[in-house]
Amino acid sequence: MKTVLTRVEGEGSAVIVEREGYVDSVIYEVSEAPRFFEYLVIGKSPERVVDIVSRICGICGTSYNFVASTAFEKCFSVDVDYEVATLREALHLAERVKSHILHLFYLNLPDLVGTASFEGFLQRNPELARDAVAVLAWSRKVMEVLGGRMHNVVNMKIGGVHKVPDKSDVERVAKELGSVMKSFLEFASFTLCLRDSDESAWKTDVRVHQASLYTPTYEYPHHGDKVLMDGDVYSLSEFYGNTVKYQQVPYSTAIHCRIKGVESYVVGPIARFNHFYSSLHKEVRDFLRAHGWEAPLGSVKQSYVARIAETFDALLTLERFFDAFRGIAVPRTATPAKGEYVCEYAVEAPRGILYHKYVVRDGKIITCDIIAPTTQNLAAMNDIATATLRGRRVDPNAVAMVKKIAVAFDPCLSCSVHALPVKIIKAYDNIAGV
Amino acid sequence: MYKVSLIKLTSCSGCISEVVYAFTYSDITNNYGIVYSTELTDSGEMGEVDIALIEGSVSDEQQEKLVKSVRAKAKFVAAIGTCAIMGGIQSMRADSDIDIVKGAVYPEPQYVDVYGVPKPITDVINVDFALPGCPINGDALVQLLRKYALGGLPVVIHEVVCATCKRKGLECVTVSKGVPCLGPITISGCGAICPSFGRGCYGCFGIKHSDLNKEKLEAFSNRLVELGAGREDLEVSIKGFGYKTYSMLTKAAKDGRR
Repeated sequence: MKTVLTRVEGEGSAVIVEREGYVDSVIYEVSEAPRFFEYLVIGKSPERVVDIVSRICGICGTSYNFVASTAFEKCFSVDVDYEVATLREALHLAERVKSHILHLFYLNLPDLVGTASFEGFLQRNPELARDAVAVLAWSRKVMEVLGGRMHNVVNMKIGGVHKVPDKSDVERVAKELGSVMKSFLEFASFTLCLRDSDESAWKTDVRVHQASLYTPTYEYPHHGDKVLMDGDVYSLSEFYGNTVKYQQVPYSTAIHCRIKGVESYVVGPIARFNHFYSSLHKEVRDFLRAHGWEAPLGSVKQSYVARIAETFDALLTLERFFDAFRGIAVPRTATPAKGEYVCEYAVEAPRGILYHKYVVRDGKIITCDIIAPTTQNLAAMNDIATATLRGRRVDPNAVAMVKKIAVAFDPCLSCSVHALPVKIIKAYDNIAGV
Repeated sequence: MYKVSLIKLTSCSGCISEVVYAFTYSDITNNYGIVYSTELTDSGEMGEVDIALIEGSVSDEQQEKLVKSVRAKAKFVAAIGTCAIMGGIQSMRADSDIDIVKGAVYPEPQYVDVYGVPKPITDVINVDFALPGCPINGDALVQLLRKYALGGLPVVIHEVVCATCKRKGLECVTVSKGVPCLGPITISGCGAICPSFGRGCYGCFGIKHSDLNKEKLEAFSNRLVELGAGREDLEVSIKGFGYKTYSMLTKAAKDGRR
């Protein structure tokens, strides 16, 4: 039987394969129509590509601007001013706040409190709903000041930003942070106190790895060129070129990623949290411990704890950014270089590692490889749902659980329809006529 | 309480995020309730509604059927965003052979069923209102819904980004810095964000269709290239964000009109 996924971004369904009334396996189908971004960018300039890729995702578009700009800067050897670099990181963290609060309140909370949508909760608890919405509205204002608008920001480019915002505009949003932090902590406190009844039903023995970005200075994952999984550190090309194998499945427009073609892995808040819990601000760890939560989180269902931690951590980082902001940096312009380059980089988008790889020749994109976080999580979603539900009777509870598992992953299905297996890059030379 | 349904076709959900903002951070929640939205509620099938907001372009037959059924069940349909009105940036593939496009991205393209040319929903149904943007301006949506609740609609003004720059007292980036800017042909509504950040507009709200023909468009493009814009990059604005207008103007020229 098939059920449409709700409270996830994008179009998808869950298929429960039954055997005599019992669950045999669960398959998540992505039915989003593809938009072929890896094809659309061919022949365009790197500058234009930074704006194009933002359209891949409506909730994490800034992650795309960010990773594309940085990938090109690194390979063209363009230096970015320190204050400009922190400005971009702040903009990206504001988007992380926006994405997490969107998921926590609108998509995930209904599962935790038993309503069909956020409107049900709004009626029962209008004050807390107002608290959550206040955080979203503030993140929007911050993104407008630093980036131009809440989605498809205009203020990122190769070499930095187009304009450093006026100190007065930044101070205007910084002033509100105190009350926003208070609102967030009220909402977070309530959410952290929720305990679900079918906790035990989520335990599973399926082997699922966790992967996050890694920096040698042990910062909480934000962006970088190394991946940490099971204690091993990989370079991006090793991980995405060799360790992860890609499979296209006939029932889905998204491609699945598996370690060495076999085991699935998870990226995102839970992986980052479990790996780098001790790198979170002390206030964050104290706050979680006061509510009875600590690393490691054992189940994807508990991802909301990681999202709350990351949002709090981002707000604290933004506070430091506002305090230090001078508004005196001058943005630089980068000139495109001649020759052939391979530009790759990764950023921790709200949902996990986002990897971009471009081959650029004489200022034009030749090939493009984008691996979105949800693409990487799809195989794990199937494996975890199958392992959790196999053998249960197919009934409304099982169907509800299948949907809850999807929501817990916070999948972004529109993004997931983008993965170009490295192995067929060679085919491009014949196809595009370049 | 007006019943609203939120439909997503082929798109990124950016406009839906603006709808979420409009619906929870303004006073319109007093008059409007979202009864159908796969992203926001667990509702089953869509029933009769007062207003349907549709984001995204139509990429396959299933979506065409969906859009037609939404039209039949909604009193008022608004197309929101560049994907729904112009076809969206994905329209850039329109001039390519779809099999080549599919083969470039998927190892087994035969499993992927999609139109070569994405359709704006305005090609499939009549809409009552079109709100441009990539993404739409959440405040403009609030305006629309406030006026609708009062029994009216916003006055539609056909103007381009230049008018917004003038009203905001922004220095024209082309005149003062020689930066190529598509403002003169781009539909207004964004508040001239790019010029206010010192960069040229790249046309994400779509190309205007009044007072423009193929010759004027080509002359303007040539001028932008003289200012330093790349021809391939211009395609993003004209054949991507502005696809519907571009194809209308090209067809009109072929048919001998204008």
